[in-house]
Amino acid sequence: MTHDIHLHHITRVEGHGNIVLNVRKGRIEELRLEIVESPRFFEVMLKGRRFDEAPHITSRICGICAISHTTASIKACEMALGIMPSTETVLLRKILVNAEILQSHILHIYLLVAPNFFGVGSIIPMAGSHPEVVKRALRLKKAANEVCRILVGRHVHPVGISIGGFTRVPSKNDLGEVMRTLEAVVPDMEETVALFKDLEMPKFDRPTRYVSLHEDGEYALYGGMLYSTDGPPVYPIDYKEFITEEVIEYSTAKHARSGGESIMVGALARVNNNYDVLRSEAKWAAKELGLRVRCVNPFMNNLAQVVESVHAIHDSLNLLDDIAGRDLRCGKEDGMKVSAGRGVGVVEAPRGTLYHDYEIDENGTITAVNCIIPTAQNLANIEEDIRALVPEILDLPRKEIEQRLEVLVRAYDPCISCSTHFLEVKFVG
Amino acid sequence: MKKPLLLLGLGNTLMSDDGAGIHVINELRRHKLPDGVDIVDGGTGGISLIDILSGYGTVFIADAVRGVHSRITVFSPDELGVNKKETGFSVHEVELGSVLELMNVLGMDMPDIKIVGIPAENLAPGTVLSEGCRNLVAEAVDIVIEMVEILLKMPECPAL
Repeated sequence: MTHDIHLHHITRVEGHGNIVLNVRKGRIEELRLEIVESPRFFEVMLKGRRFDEAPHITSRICGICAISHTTASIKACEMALGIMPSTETVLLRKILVNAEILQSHILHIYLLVAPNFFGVGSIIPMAGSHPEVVKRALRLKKAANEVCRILVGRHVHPVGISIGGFTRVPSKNDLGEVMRTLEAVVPDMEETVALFKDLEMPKFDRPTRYVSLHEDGEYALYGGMLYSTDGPPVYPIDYKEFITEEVIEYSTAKHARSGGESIMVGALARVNNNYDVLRSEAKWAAKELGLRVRCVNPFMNNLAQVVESVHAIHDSLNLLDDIAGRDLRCGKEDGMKVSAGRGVGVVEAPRGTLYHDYEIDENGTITAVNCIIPTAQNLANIEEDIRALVPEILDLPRKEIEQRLEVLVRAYDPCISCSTHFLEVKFVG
Repeated sequence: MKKPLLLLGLGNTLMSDDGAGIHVINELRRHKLPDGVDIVDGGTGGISLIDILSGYGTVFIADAVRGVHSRITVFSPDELGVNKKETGFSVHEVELGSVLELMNVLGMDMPDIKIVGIPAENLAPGTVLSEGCRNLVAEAVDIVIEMVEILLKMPECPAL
């Protein structure tokens, strides 16, 4: 069997990338996941800027993951400057991170993944054939965005979240509105579980290293230790011992590895690593969807995103209950004492673990920056998956091979726009 | 209950003239407009524009355009080239035409929309408008204000 496949601009992923695959007599001679987007140089952009500009600038790395980048940036600055946010500040940040997980996952599973299962090419024909499904997606997404709007002004490039606290302390009425907004979409989320329960994911198993944050007693999205299924936990400040990056000739995004091996980050990795501390409603969803840990089928990342969406809603409702009995001491204090230091902020963005590492001098100027984006961490693993999957599907018609590879890449929910950007498959020969 | 009028700027201010629509609405914020007129920076908005657009009876959109005209043109969504994206779709790349098409297919209540198209000369990374575009932004501000005044004089105009 000989195939020369060039999948040029893989569809329904964020950004542009290609798969180049050359199979001769059943053997893969060439395989490249080419990332062809222009590099964006955000790290260079930050050097020489004041530390408090960093959260605003880095929120522009991604319009979908703006809360995650802002939060990672704030955490890095706070660590560098020795600032300890209040308990209430952290609780509110966790609600925001949950909201972003919800809106991003909903966008992916409904707008990019679901059309495949309904036999249509995109959300627009799906809106004609299944309007109730698209309207449900839009309601869920709107609810997540509303949470962000109420708490920090807006979701895309939030303005109310800041180093040390919030520029505007939410009122009790605001928190009540957030709660009502989330409670209103619980039935929609249950319908979502029912919908995806009926969609069959392709069968394919390949164990790999699953990497995420991990924290005792809590489903770690905002903080915790760096955790891999193969190795001891590592403090975020020591992440360079945990994860290494390499420049790849054919990719404008770097590849990342842990312990020399490719890794998977994102929803499936988190569910695999932290299943025990999921909310009970999310565990129910996992059971309904047939997602059992440790799951080694990357296509199931789509269903892990459904599970995490359930968790995000119910965990936020729980956090709101916690906050209700507290004085909201989360206002940003004027005048921060500036001192030289280094800080590493790590959060779980929707697509996986996100690192911001800054060095700040005694004047508050950023002198060194390193950001590691989730999609870049998954790229080497996607290549390894393709390498293992192709021999299993070589007997399929070429069109189906191309489609299966696209579905695989899409299951990772890559954000090539951010990693730098992503996907086309090129069969050669 | 829909709000009566929204002035919506679209574009990316990090890509020079692509951000012309945002510069227009930022300038409009300095003007005394009737109470009840909302001004929103829609940025590169994408799918979230549905939530914004569906809340208003009338929307005037300021946005950069390429290629067709050298002068500011006011046009309706019907004249907008819609990429229906039958096979592809990216949440980062949802443009206004796709958003309006999606609203239309879903049978959502559409606002009355007019688009003020500002010809863009330079779309390279940068935060500064080209000289030509800067002049057109000032002109677009006057045009939008005139459109608001005309709307207010129309008998069917909802109370602001």
